[in-house]
Amino acid sequence: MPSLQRELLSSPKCAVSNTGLMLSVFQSEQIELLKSLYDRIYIPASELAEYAKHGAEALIRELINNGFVVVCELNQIEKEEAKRISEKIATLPLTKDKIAQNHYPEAEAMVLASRAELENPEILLDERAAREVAKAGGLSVIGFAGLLIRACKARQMTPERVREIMLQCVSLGTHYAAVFIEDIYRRLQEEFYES
Amino acid sequence: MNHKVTPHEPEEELLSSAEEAFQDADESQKRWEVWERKHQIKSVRIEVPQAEYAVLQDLAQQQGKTVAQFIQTILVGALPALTSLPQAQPRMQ
Repeated sequence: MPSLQRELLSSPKCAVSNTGLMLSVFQSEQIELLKSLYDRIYIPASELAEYAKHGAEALIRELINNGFVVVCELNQIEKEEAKRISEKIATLPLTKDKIAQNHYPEAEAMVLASRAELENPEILLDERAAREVAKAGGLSVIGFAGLLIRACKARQMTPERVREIMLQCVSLGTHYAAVFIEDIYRRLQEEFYES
Repeated sequence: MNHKVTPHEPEEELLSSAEEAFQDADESQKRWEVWERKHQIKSVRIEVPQAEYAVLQDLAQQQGKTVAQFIQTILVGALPALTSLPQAQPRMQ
Protein backbone atom coordinates (compact mmCIF):
# COMPACT_ATOMS: atom_id res chain seq x y z
CA MET A 1 0.00 0.00 0.00
CA PRO A 2 2.75 2.56 0.74
CA SER A 3 4.03 2.13 -2.82
CA LEU A 4 0.53 2.85 -4.15
CA GLN A 5 0.44 5.95 -1.99
CA ARG A 6 3.75 7.18 -3.38
CA GLU A 7 2.60 6.46 -6.90
CA LEU A 8 -0.61 8.43 -6.42
CA LEU A 9 1.11 11.42 -4.94
CA SER A 10 3.87 11.50 -7.52
CA SER A 11 1.32 11.79 -10.33
CA PRO A 12 -0.45 15.04 -9.61
CA LYS A 13 -2.89 16.65 -12.01
CA CYS A 14 -0.90 19.65 -13.15
CA ALA A 15 -1.43 22.80 -15.14
CA VAL A 16 0.77 25.70 -16.07
CA SER A 17 -0.96 29.05 -15.71
CA ASN A 18 -0.61 32.41 -17.30
CA THR A 19 -1.06 35.44 -15.05
CA GLY A 20 -4.29 36.71 -16.63
CA LEU A 21 -6.32 33.60 -15.86
CA MET A 22 -5.04 33.43 -12.29
CA LEU A 23 -6.07 37.07 -11.83
CA SER A 24 -9.61 36.11 -12.86
CA VAL A 25 -9.48 33.27 -10.33
CA PHE A 26 -8.38 35.73 -7.63
CA GLN A 27 -10.93 38.38 -8.60
CA SER A 28 -13.78 35.89 -8.34
CA GLU A 29 -12.27 34.02 -5.37
CA GLN A 30 -12.32 30.68 -7.17
CA ILE A 31 -9.13 29.13 -5.77
CA GLU A 32 -11.14 26.23 -4.42
CA LEU A 33 -12.48 25.54 -7.91
CA LEU A 34 -8.92 25.43 -9.24
CA LYS A 35 -7.91 23.11 -6.40
CA SER A 36 -10.80 20.81 -7.22
CA LEU A 37 -9.53 20.46 -10.80
CA TYR A 38 -5.76 20.39 -10.28
CA ASP A 39 -3.30 19.21 -7.65
CA ARG A 40 -0.61 21.65 -8.64
CA ILE A 41 -0.20 24.78 -10.73
CA TYR A 42 3.19 25.73 -12.16
CA ILE A 43 4.04 29.31 -13.02
CA PRO A 44 7.23 30.73 -14.50
CA ALA A 45 9.27 33.04 -12.29
CA SER A 46 8.79 35.93 -14.72
CA GLU A 47 5.08 36.05 -13.80
CA LEU A 48 5.76 37.00 -10.17
CA ALA A 49 6.29 40.66 -11.02
CA GLU A 50 2.93 40.68 -12.83
CA TYR A 51 1.08 39.39 -9.76
CA ALA A 52 2.68 42.15 -7.71
CA LYS A 53 1.75 44.75 -10.33
CA HIS A 54 -1.90 43.65 -10.27
CA GLY A 55 -2.35 43.55 -6.50
CA ALA A 56 -2.17 39.78 -6.18
CA GLU A 57 1.27 39.30 -4.65
CA ALA A 58 0.01 38.21 -1.23
CA LEU A 59 -2.52 35.84 -2.82
CA ILE A 60 0.02 34.09 -5.05
CA ARG A 61 2.56 33.95 -2.16
CA GLU A 62 -0.01 32.16 -0.02
CA LEU A 63 -0.55 29.55 -2.73
CA ILE A 64 3.20 29.15 -3.19
CA ASN A 65 3.68 28.73 0.55
CA ASN A 66 1.03 26.03 0.81
CA GLY A 67 2.49 24.13 -2.13
CA PHE A 68 -0.37 24.48 -4.58
CA VAL A 69 1.56 26.84 -6.84
CA VAL A 70 5.14 26.03 -7.80
CA VAL A 71 7.40 28.70 -9.30
CA CYS A 72 9.84 27.49 -11.95
CA GLU A 73 12.93 29.21 -13.22
CA LEU A 74 13.71 28.57 -16.89
CA ASN A 75 17.21 27.71 -18.08
CA GLN A 76 19.01 29.80 -20.70
CA ILE A 77 17.94 27.64 -23.66
CA GLU A 78 14.31 27.75 -22.48
CA LYS A 79 14.51 31.52 -22.05
CA GLU A 80 15.71 31.90 -25.62
CA GLU A 81 12.82 29.75 -26.80
CA ALA A 82 10.41 31.89 -24.74
CA LYS A 83 11.85 35.03 -26.34
CA ARG A 84 11.24 33.55 -29.79
CA ILE A 85 7.65 32.65 -28.85
CA SER A 86 6.97 36.12 -27.40
CA GLU A 87 8.11 37.68 -30.68
CA LYS A 88 5.75 35.36 -32.55
CA ILE A 89 2.78 36.33 -30.33
CA ALA A 90 3.53 40.03 -30.85
CA THR A 91 3.27 39.68 -34.63
CA LEU A 92 -0.23 38.16 -34.59
CA PRO A 93 -3.18 40.35 -35.66
CA LEU A 94 -5.08 39.06 -32.59
CA THR A 95 -2.95 41.18 -30.27
CA LYS A 96 -2.86 44.95 -30.09
CA ASP A 97 0.30 44.86 -28.02
CA LYS A 98 3.17 44.58 -30.48
CA ILE A 99 5.92 44.72 -27.85
CA ALA A 100 7.30 41.19 -27.64
CA GLN A 101 8.65 41.71 -24.11
CA ASN A 102 5.08 42.21 -22.83
CA HIS A 103 4.23 38.68 -24.02
CA TYR A 104 7.32 37.11 -22.49
CA PRO A 105 5.67 35.73 -19.30
CA GLU A 106 3.00 33.80 -21.26
CA ALA A 107 5.75 32.59 -23.62
CA GLU A 108 7.67 31.32 -20.58
CA ALA A 109 4.50 29.54 -19.43
CA MET A 110 4.32 27.79 -22.82
CA VAL A 111 7.95 26.68 -22.63
CA LEU A 112 7.33 25.42 -19.11
CA ALA A 113 4.29 23.45 -20.29
CA SER A 114 6.51 21.77 -22.89
CA ARG A 115 8.81 20.24 -20.28
CA ALA A 116 8.74 16.47 -20.64
CA GLU A 117 8.60 15.77 -16.90
CA LEU A 118 5.27 17.61 -16.59
CA GLU A 119 3.54 15.04 -18.84
CA ASN A 120 1.92 17.56 -21.18
CA PRO A 121 0.00 19.60 -18.61
CA GLU A 122 -2.82 21.92 -19.57
CA ILE A 123 -1.95 25.55 -19.99
CA LEU A 124 -4.45 27.98 -18.46
CA LEU A 125 -4.71 30.85 -20.88
CA ASP A 126 -7.34 33.41 -21.89
CA GLU A 127 -5.46 35.72 -24.28
CA ARG A 128 -6.42 34.87 -27.86
CA ALA A 129 -3.05 35.50 -29.51
CA ALA A 130 -1.17 33.43 -26.95
CA ARG A 131 -3.80 30.67 -27.16
CA GLU A 132 -3.29 30.45 -30.91
CA VAL A 133 0.47 30.09 -30.55
CA ALA A 134 0.12 27.56 -27.72
CA LYS A 135 -2.32 25.43 -29.73
CA ALA A 136 -0.12 25.60 -32.83
CA GLY A 137 2.70 24.33 -30.62
CA GLY A 138 0.63 21.30 -29.65
CA LEU A 139 -0.18 22.42 -26.10
CA SER A 140 -3.49 21.64 -24.39
CA VAL A 141 -5.16 24.96 -23.66
CA ILE A 142 -8.09 25.84 -21.42
CA GLY A 143 -9.42 29.28 -20.50
CA PHE A 144 -11.19 30.52 -17.37
CA ALA A 145 -14.61 30.00 -18.96
CA GLY A 146 -13.61 26.43 -19.86
CA LEU A 147 -12.78 25.72 -16.21
CA LEU A 148 -16.16 27.06 -15.12
CA ILE A 149 -17.95 25.02 -17.80
CA ARG A 150 -16.15 21.87 -16.63
CA ALA A 151 -17.22 22.59 -13.04
CA CYS A 152 -20.81 23.19 -14.13
CA LYS A 153 -20.94 20.01 -16.19
CA ALA A 154 -19.62 18.13 -13.13
CA ARG A 155 -22.46 19.79 -11.16
CA GLN A 156 -20.02 21.61 -8.90
CA MET A 157 -21.83 24.85 -9.71
CA THR A 158 -24.99 26.02 -11.46
CA PRO A 159 -25.10 27.95 -14.77
CA GLU A 160 -26.25 30.95 -12.74
CA ARG A 161 -23.11 30.76 -10.61
CA VAL A 162 -20.91 30.52 -13.73
CA ARG A 163 -22.54 33.68 -15.07
CA GLU A 164 -22.20 35.45 -11.72
CA ILE A 165 -18.47 34.59 -11.47
CA MET A 166 -17.74 35.87 -14.97
CA LEU A 167 -19.71 39.05 -14.30
CA GLN A 168 -17.73 39.58 -11.09
CA CYS A 169 -14.54 39.59 -13.16
CA VAL A 170 -16.12 42.00 -15.63
CA SER A 171 -17.15 44.34 -12.81
CA LEU A 172 -13.49 44.42 -11.76
CA GLY A 173 -12.33 45.33 -15.26
CA THR A 174 -11.65 41.98 -16.95
CA HIS A 175 -13.24 42.28 -20.36
CA TYR A 176 -15.05 39.01 -20.96
CA ALA A 177 -17.59 40.04 -23.60
CA ALA A 178 -21.24 40.22 -22.49
CA VAL A 179 -22.35 38.10 -25.46
CA PHE A 180 -19.70 35.50 -24.58
CA ILE A 181 -20.98 35.21 -21.01
CA GLU A 182 -24.63 35.04 -22.11
CA ASP A 183 -23.89 32.40 -24.78
CA ILE A 184 -22.14 30.22 -22.21
CA TYR A 185 -24.94 30.75 -19.68
CA ARG A 186 -27.65 29.85 -22.19
CA ARG A 187 -25.88 26.70 -23.38
CA LEU A 188 -25.14 25.57 -19.83
CA GLN A 189 -28.76 26.15 -18.83
CA GLU A 190 -29.94 23.93 -21.69
CA GLU A 191 -27.59 21.11 -20.65
CA PHE A 192 -27.88 21.53 -16.88
CA TYR A 193 -31.65 21.61 -16.54
CA GLU A 194 -32.45 19.10 -19.26
CA SER A 195 -30.27 16.34 -17.81
CA MET B 1 -15.12 39.28 -4.93
CA ASN B 2 -11.59 40.61 -4.58
CA HIS B 3 -11.56 44.34 -5.35
CA LYS B 4 -7.80 44.66 -4.94
CA VAL B 5 -6.87 42.52 -7.96
CA THR B 6 -6.73 44.51 -11.17
CA PRO B 7 -7.26 42.85 -14.58
CA HIS B 8 -4.36 41.72 -16.68
CA GLU B 9 -3.56 43.51 -19.95
CA PRO B 10 -6.94 45.24 -20.44
CA GLU B 11 -6.06 45.97 -24.07
CA GLU B 12 -5.45 42.29 -24.84
CA GLU B 13 -8.16 40.38 -26.69
CA LEU B 14 -9.54 37.54 -24.59
CA LEU B 15 -11.28 34.37 -25.66
CA SER B 16 -14.76 35.39 -26.78
CA SER B 17 -16.15 32.32 -28.51
CA ALA B 18 -18.51 30.24 -26.38
CA GLU B 19 -17.99 27.39 -28.83
CA GLU B 20 -14.26 27.46 -28.16
CA ALA B 21 -14.79 27.66 -24.39
CA PHE B 22 -17.00 24.54 -24.51
CA GLN B 23 -14.41 22.85 -26.71
CA ASP B 24 -11.75 23.71 -24.08
CA ALA B 25 -13.89 22.16 -21.37
CA ASP B 26 -14.76 19.00 -23.33
CA GLU B 27 -11.18 18.35 -24.42
CA SER B 28 -9.94 18.97 -20.89
CA GLN B 29 -12.50 16.56 -19.44
CA LYS B 30 -11.51 13.84 -21.94
CA ARG B 31 -7.80 14.48 -21.35
CA TRP B 32 -8.13 13.98 -17.60
CA GLU B 33 -10.28 10.87 -18.04
CA VAL B 34 -7.49 9.35 -20.16
CA TRP B 35 -4.93 10.51 -17.57
CA GLU B 36 -6.90 8.86 -14.75
CA ARG B 37 -7.09 5.57 -16.66
CA LYS B 38 -3.36 5.71 -17.40
CA HIS B 39 -2.49 6.30 -13.74
CA GLN B 40 -5.22 3.92 -12.53
CA ILE B 41 -6.83 6.65 -10.48
CA LYS B 42 -10.49 7.22 -9.69
CA SER B 43 -11.61 10.70 -8.78
CA VAL B 44 -14.09 11.17 -5.97
CA ARG B 45 -15.86 14.32 -4.99
CA ILE B 46 -16.41 14.81 -1.29
CA GLU B 47 -18.08 17.56 0.67
CA VAL B 48 -17.01 18.52 4.17
CA PRO B 49 -18.39 21.21 6.48
CA GLN B 50 -16.50 24.50 6.26
CA ALA B 51 -15.21 24.30 9.84
CA GLU B 52 -13.67 20.87 9.27
CA TYR B 53 -12.33 22.01 5.91
CA ALA B 54 -10.44 24.83 7.64
CA VAL B 55 -8.82 22.28 9.97
CA LEU B 56 -7.89 20.06 7.04
CA GLN B 57 -6.46 23.08 5.23
CA ASP B 58 -4.26 23.96 8.22
CA LEU B 59 -2.99 20.40 8.56
CA ALA B 60 -2.37 20.10 4.82
CA GLN B 61 -0.49 23.38 4.80
CA GLN B 62 1.77 22.18 7.61
CA GLN B 63 2.77 19.27 5.37
CA GLY B 64 3.13 21.36 2.23
CA LYS B 65 0.15 19.61 0.62
CA THR B 66 -3.14 20.71 -0.85
CA VAL B 67 -6.30 19.58 0.97
CA ALA B 68 -6.96 17.02 -1.79
CA GLN B 69 -3.45 15.57 -1.48
CA PHE B 70 -3.77 15.49 2.31
CA ILE B 71 -7.10 13.63 2.23
CA GLN B 72 -5.69 11.28 -0.41
CA THR B 73 -2.77 10.46 1.92
CA ILE B 74 -5.08 9.83 4.89
CA LEU B 75 -7.53 7.64 2.97
CA VAL B 76 -4.94 5.51 1.21
CA GLY B 77 -2.97 5.17 4.45
CA ALA B 78 -6.08 4.15 6.40
CA LEU B 79 -7.21 1.47 3.95
CA PRO B 80 -5.15 -1.44 5.35
CA ALA B 81 -6.55 -0.80 8.85
CA LEU B 82 -10.10 -0.37 7.56
CA THR B 83 -10.05 -3.54 5.48
CA SER B 84 -8.74 -5.59 8.42
CA LEU B 85 -11.75 -4.73 10.56
CA PRO B 86 -14.16 -7.69 11.02
CA GLN B 87 -17.09 -5.75 9.59
CA ALA B 88 -15.07 -5.06 6.43
CA GLN B 89 -14.57 -8.78 5.65
CA PRO B 90 -16.70 -10.27 2.83
CA ARG B 91 -19.75 -12.03 4.23
CA MET B 92 -20.23 -15.76 3.70
CA GLN B 93 -23.42 -16.65 1.85
